Amino acid sequence: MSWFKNLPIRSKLTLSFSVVLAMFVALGVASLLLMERMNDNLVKTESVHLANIKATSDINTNTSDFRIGEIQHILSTEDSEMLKYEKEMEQKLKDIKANEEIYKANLSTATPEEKMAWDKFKTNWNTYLEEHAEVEKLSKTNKNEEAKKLVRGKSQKLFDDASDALLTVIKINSDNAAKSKTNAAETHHFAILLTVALLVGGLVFSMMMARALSNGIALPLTKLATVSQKISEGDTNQEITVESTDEIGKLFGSFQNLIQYFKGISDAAGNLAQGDLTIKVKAKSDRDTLSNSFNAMAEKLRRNAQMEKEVQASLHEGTQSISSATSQIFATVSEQTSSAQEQAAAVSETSSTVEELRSTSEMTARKSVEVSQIAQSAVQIGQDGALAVENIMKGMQSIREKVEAIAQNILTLSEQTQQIGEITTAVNDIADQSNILSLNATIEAARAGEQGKGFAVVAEEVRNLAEQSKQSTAKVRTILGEIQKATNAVVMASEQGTKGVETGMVLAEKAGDVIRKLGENIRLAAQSVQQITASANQQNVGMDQISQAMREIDQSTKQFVSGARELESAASGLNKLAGQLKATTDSFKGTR
Amino acid sequence: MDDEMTLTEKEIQRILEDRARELARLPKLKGAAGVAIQEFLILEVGNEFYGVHIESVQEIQMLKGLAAVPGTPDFWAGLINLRGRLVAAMDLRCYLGLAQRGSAANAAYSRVVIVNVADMLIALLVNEVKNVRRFGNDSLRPPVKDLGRTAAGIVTAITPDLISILDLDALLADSRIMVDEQHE
Repeated sequence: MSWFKNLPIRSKLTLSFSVVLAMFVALGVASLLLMERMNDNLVKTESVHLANIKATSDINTNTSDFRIGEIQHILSTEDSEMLKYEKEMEQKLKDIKANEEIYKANLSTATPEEKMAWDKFKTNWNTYLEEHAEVEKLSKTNKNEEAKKLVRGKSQKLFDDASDALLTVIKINSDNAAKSKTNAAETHHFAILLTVALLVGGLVFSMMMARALSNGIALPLTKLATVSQKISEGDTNQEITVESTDEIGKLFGSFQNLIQYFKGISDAAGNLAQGDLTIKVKAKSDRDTLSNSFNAMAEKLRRNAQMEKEVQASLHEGTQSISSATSQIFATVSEQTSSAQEQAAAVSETSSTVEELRSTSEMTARKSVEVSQIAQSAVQIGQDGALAVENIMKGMQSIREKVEAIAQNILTLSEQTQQIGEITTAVNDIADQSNILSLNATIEAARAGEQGKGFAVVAEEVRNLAEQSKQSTAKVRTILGEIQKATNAVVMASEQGTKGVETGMVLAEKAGDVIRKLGENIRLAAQSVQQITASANQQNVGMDQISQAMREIDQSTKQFVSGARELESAASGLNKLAGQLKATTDSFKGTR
Repeated sequence: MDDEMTLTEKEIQRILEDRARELARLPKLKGAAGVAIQEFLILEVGNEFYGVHIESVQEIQMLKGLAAVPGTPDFWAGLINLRGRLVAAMDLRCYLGLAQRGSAANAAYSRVVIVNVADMLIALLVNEVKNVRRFGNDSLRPPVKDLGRTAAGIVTAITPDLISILDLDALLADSRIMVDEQHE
């Protein structure tokens, strides 16, 4: 498409419109041609096929009427009637002839098949007419039976064949009319398709042309407008490339040169601003006042720079000495700051250690107070124990005394029991004697006979008493024996009790000794614990003092560090200032 | 023992009243009317009980001192002193053939029953004098004759509770005793 691009704008426009016009013409011609073709088909259908169909149909009707007339003629017997049918038949033949003429005019365009069918009709019809003449003659002479025979035989067959042939002709013509209609429809369809294709093609081509034209003319102009706007705002850093050789390409070339010129002046001014006073611009012509004025300005600046050079030299020296001095200050302050920071860390560490120690000693003090309390209560418990042991001793003593008293009592009881035994022996003897006495009394009473009877009863009673006394004494003796055994057991038990009490007393005394010793030891321990408490408290006070001292050291170190930091930042500011000064002086080096 | 010790005042009163009533009651003679009633002194000798007619008993004494007499039959245990009079003491068990001579020393006799048989005093050594009992003649049974010969005649009857009634008069019929009498 480059050839199109390089065409002059006028040629481009002419070419584009010509192409579009040509396409319109083609569309119109094609439409006309197709319409003509459709018309042909319609005309042919109208003038040939429909006329043929009408003519042949009329012929068919007329032949049928003729046949009917013939049969009527046969059936008629009167001459007037026969004449009437003869006239009708004649009329029909005339009509057939006229229609034959109409059909024959179009016969030249007929197909061989149609022609053959038509010839067949003609042949059969003519033969039938010959037969008709025969039939008419017979009918006129009222030989109706013969006429009928003739009509039903050969004449019938000929008529049927002629009729068939004529129907074939009608059918062929009807088919041809249908074909013509189909052709017309196809042509119509084709015409629509062609018209749409041509319209779409024309539209697409027109759009392409419009796009090519706008690309080739409008876009470059727009770009140029943007670039010129930028240049007018002072932005000379623009680039355009020449892409065609037409009028727009030439305009682009001029713009390129303009940009180049402005760029050259702008760069030179930039270098001048950077301090390069040796710059010069080459004048394009005598009328290039911009370049000439720029060169004069540069010359003037050069002279001013020479004057400043001497001032700069001395300023540079001064800044250098400031810089070295501040560097030294900075180094010293940094060193001091770092050592102070180390000191602060050490102080903080010491503080935390002291804090730990303090909490440990506080714990010790707390614990020792607890132990002291425990020891106090232990001493109390020991004293209670000693008291309890004394009470036990007293109780034991009392038990011992009581047991001894029991033993003594039992001994007395035993002696008394002995005495009771003696007494019962005496009672027993008395009872024995009483027994004997009573028996003797009984004997005496028996001797006395009837008078002694009452006495005998008394004697018997006395004897019974003696018997009972004896039994009682025996019982008493048994009881005494048991008492004796019991007292013996009690004596033994009290003996054992006494011994047990003695052992218990010895043990209690030992326990008392142990508890007393334990109490003494606990008292000593409590005293030690109190001493520990006092020491821990003293230690605590000392720790507090150390802690306070450490806090003060920390405070002063922090103050020192912050002072040093301020000094450092002041030195840093000075250094920076010196650096800036140096940079300022250095920036003029280019003009030296 | 405890129960006896803990008798209440009321109980004691009751017991004493019962006793007084018992004493006040006249004893009833056993046997039917018209039957002769005899009184016997019941003696305990060894393990046996014997009855002697109360008419033949003079008195009862404690056994205090028994002097053995040599050369006498087995049943003569020795002599006793009854208020200054010497009386021959008979060991009934030996006499009745229930024990050997010398058994008296071991028999723990504590009493002597002085019997008067045909004006002759004989001391019977006994363990105990039980009491005086009355029996109707109809309640006494004759002894079993066929069991033996020696001293069989001395047992004249058996009470229903198997006490042998001794007929002291039969002693006089014993030749051995008569010999002794002659010696005296």
